Amino acid sequence: MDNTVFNLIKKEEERQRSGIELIASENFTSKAVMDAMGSCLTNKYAEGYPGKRYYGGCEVVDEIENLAISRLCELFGAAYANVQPHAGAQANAAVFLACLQPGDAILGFDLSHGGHLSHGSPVNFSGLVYKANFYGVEEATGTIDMDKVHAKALEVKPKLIICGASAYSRTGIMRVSGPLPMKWVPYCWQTFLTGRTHNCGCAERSIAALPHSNQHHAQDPQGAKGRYHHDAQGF
Amino acid sequence: MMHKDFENPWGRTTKKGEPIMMSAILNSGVFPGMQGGPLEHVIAAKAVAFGEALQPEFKSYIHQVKINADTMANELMTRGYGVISGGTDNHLMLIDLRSKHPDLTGREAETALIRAEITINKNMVPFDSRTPFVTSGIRLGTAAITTRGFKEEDCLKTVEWIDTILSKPSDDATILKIKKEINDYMAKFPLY
Repeated sequence: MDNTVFNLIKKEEERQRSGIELIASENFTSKAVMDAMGSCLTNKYAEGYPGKRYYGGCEVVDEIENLAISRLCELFGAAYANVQPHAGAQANAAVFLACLQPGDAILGFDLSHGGHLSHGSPVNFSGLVYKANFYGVEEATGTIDMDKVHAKALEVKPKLIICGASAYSRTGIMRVSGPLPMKWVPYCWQTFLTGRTHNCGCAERSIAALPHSNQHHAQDPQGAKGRYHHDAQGF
Repeated sequence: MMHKDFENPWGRTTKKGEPIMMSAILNSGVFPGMQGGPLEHVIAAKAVAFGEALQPEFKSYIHQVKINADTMANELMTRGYGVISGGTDNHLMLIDLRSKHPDLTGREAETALIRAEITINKNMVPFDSRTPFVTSGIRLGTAAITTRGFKEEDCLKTVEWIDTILSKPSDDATILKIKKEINDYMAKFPLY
């Protein structure tokens, strides 16, 4: 037993126990979640995906990863989920990498209005590699004016629109209020970094996943050609 | 409701000319695009957490998270604090301290509250007059305290403590007295 480290862990547990925790992105996991975290699975290397690994002996971790995926799909009503991203910023980076070319325009929620670093901030890869544009809230109401988001999208022609937030107490943008030509926005990406994410109860902070569902066309303001997808991340 | 996987919107195809599904493009963004080996112990923990979130009790938990957030936001507004957008529809709220304490920064508020073991973070408010390291706001969320078992009355008590401290952020005696009250109070709410 390493007393130096474990005494510090005890100290942290006492801090968590004795105070009132109001950090919006934190929660307390169950013992069962922590038991899984502290298990022999930490020994296994498993590059790849279930059934398509680059290492042997992955039969059991394949079952575990498939179980995580199917539960997450059920939770979000999604056809597909990826449970490998180590955290939300990595999940975001993976979607950027999959959907964009360097220098492409993106449209995200201004960090200083309640957005997130990984949504185009100039100090983050998302603002360094891509051409970031922002929408924000109205000074008078503190809420997002959807018509202004639409006008901004028409102006900057983003390849990707990010709908997530980290400090916005209303539902983030679910869709742009008017039609956008599909050649500008081939893929409308939504993340629910607050609200739906936390409310979906991913009680464990390092959880990150990328389920999405194909939520077109009937309620789709982009018209019959539009594609409208949900990407959700659990932290 | 399950939805179907779908073809990528860019018309990318395999060498054989078959359409590539969106799931394959996103998967390759994660691995090999961004990451190497997955953390299977963390993935197992996610499976457990998702299993918990699929239980009916989770719905009542989330309902209480939102009730608690709404209770705190309303009580803060009653006491003269600005809540950005005038309230909350989810688990968090962003407080503009300037409406009640024009000279109190988010950084000072964070320091004072943490001394009493109320853990929050300073946060920029929209159109903030201060820098990101100083800020004019704080962000509060109710997911963790609801897991501990907090109900509306506990949230009202918490806002009372917060308001007392923020009204006298340099008053050591008040902060230490409240810290003691909080430590005693939290003994009633098990961590596990």
